[in-house]
Amino acid sequence: MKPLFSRSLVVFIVFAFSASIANAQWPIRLDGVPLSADGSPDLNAPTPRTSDGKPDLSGVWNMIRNTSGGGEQGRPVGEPFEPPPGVPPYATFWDQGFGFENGLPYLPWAREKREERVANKGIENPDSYCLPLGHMQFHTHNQPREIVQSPNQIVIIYEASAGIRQIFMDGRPLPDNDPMEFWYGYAVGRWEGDTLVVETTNFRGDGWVDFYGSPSTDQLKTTERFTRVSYGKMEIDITIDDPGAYTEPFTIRVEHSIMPGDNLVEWVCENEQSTQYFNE
Amino acid sequence: MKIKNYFFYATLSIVLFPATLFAHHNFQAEFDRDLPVVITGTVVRFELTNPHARLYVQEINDSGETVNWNFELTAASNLLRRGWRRDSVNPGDTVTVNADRAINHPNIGNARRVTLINEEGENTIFGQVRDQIQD
Repeated sequence: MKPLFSRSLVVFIVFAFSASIANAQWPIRLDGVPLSADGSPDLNAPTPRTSDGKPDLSGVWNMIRNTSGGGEQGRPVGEPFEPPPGVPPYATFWDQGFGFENGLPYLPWAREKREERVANKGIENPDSYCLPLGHMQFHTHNQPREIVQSPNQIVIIYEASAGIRQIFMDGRPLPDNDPMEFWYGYAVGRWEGDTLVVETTNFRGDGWVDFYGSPSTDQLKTTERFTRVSYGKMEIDITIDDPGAYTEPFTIRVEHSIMPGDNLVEWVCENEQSTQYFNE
Repeated sequence: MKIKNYFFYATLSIVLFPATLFAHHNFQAEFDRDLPVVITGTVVRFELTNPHARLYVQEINDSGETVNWNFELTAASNLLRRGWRRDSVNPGDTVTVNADRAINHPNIGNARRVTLINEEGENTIFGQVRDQIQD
């Protein structure tokens, strides 16, 4: 067995081997997974492709740690990893500005709102009420997500709070008739070479960009660029463009590692369990 | 025992990746990291369930009083991936729990570490581990 103390993508290795060792209840199926000479998944294998030649982003993906101290309940710890040249600062679940020297470019009201939310211990985070967390909290969540790709639609299923995003790939434009506001926005995607570019608008106006409560408004537009650089790694650059809350757009990087042959496990947010503990 | 293998790898996974692996459900609104507790007691019930696994432990404190504790563990999905099942911890087991106490309840906590003490005296560590836990 490959030692657990591998230097690369240790998180997924831990999950993969722990689950595979455990029992047959949650089998790790390696059918179609590229394998190394020793029989382990070859994370550096080329990006798989669909029958029409596009990169296949399908799979179960886990967040790659991007701070020196990982995270613990309540805050990121340590220092943010320095991104390579040309790579945006890394996103963190707790604080998307963690990798920015001066934090995010808040408008004054947005900075005050964030501070208020931190002071209130994030009690109004949608997560507290078992409501959708929003793109960025989902992107950086430490529970996995599964991408299911078909030619006309890509669906991302988030294990956390059973979130589901639809990305329409059939060439339709973003709405221009203001249909309504959505928790997950309205998303359309297209391929630019081997990068999936997803534009999303029509968000609800009370969003949380991170757990600390960096706000977003109904003016938010996100542009996500998904690139599966190898079988085992996904790079996602997300541009947050929200003139209602920020002085300028900003871009952050999320990186995910594949969990070969793995499955999501049901995770249902049972609010009643937790509300009794909320401080009044 | 096969179950030791589960715990061995669970321990390694937890040591390697404290807390980053654990599901969030607004910890800050519920628990206070400045209220650490450490108790040793007998397992009354273990629930491998959504959204968080729960461990109920009965402690006999230094005054001889019975104290019933309710500890939140990580998401069941995370435990399942580590090989846990509903019988991984059983009523009657002796455990030591390091936890962060609930803000508004004296006997509820978020477990950072659960140590199972078996008949041979072996200590097996589950749950959250934080470097240099200050208890």
